[in-house]
Amino acid sequence: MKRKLAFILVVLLIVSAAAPSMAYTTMYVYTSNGNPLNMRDAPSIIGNIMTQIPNGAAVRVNDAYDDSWYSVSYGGYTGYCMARYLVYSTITPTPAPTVCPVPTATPSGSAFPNDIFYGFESTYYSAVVRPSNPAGYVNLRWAPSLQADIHSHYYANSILTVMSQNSLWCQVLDEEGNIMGFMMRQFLSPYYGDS
Amino acid sequence: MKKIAAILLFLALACALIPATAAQEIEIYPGDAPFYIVATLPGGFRVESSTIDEHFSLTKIEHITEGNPSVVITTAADELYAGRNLSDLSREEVELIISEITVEMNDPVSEIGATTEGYEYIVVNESTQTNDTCDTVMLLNGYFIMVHVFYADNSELTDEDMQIGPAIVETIYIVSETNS
Repeated sequence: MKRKLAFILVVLLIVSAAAPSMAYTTMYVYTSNGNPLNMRDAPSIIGNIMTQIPNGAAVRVNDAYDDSWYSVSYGGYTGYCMARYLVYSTITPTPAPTVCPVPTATPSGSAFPNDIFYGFESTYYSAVVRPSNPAGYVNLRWAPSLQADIHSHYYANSILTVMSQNSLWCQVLDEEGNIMGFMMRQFLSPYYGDS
Repeated sequence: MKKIAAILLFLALACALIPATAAQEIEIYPGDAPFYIVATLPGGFRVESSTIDEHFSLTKIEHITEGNPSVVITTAADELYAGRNLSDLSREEVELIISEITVEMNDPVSEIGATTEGYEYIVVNESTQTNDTCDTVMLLNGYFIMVHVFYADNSELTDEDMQIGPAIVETIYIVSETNS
């Protein structure tokens, strides 16, 4: 009896461990110019084009090849698409950046303020920087406002930790540089580690 | 004898300084592209560091003397413009690229230039209390190349500083790896 129970437990453990790698998710094509997105037979823009996916179409994301390319299935094809043109929700107009009130939180005794800024929810996850132009950069600011001073620039594929967020801004920590600031949420994507 | 030693010392110092202040040709490898890019840095600049992965490369340039702006050259592929140069794009597409580059700017100024080789590029700069940058952006065979010029302390860029990006892209040419 004990053996049977142990066997079942082991099987359950194996299944639950294997489940995340077998999981897939639905994402949507969102190209800034409205053109279709190419699906290629290799994770590179020099790969052969297998098919074109219309802007707004739902695709099945099988796996992340890396931060830049995902393995995707659509219309009977399975190939690779650029991750920067895949979003989790259907296309909605991007909200225009607005000026947020300057936060009133003041630093406590620690290196960084513990307070959550008004209207921000506490989070803790890693995110990868995705500038609007792939060769571009994103500003890290002292406050969640386009009028706030810029501390530094972050280029594509930089990894940051999101400490809190609202609908437009993320409070991020650069653990390497030990810098905390604010970055527009639209330029950050959750980072799941190297696959 | 002392005179000869002084002349030799002067010549040695002069020789040591010439390579650092002369224009320097560098190679930039834009990820997995079947080509690489050659650019010439203006005199006094040299490569500080360079990182590259399959899809993105970043080259930091520094000047041999302090008090000069930071320069970062980045390259990345863009699926939407695969195989195309800036001059192949429609006016709407170029405007879209400019709007994407300036999305975080409050008062951007942009213009389009062309190299003597005929490659078009976009220059975007902003000079406000919170931001002072100059970005020169080129699209070559579906790969964006950006020269980002700024001061770490956000000091105001001079007219001379704003010529660094266009001066670098002016020298750019592609070397196909399949030709070798």
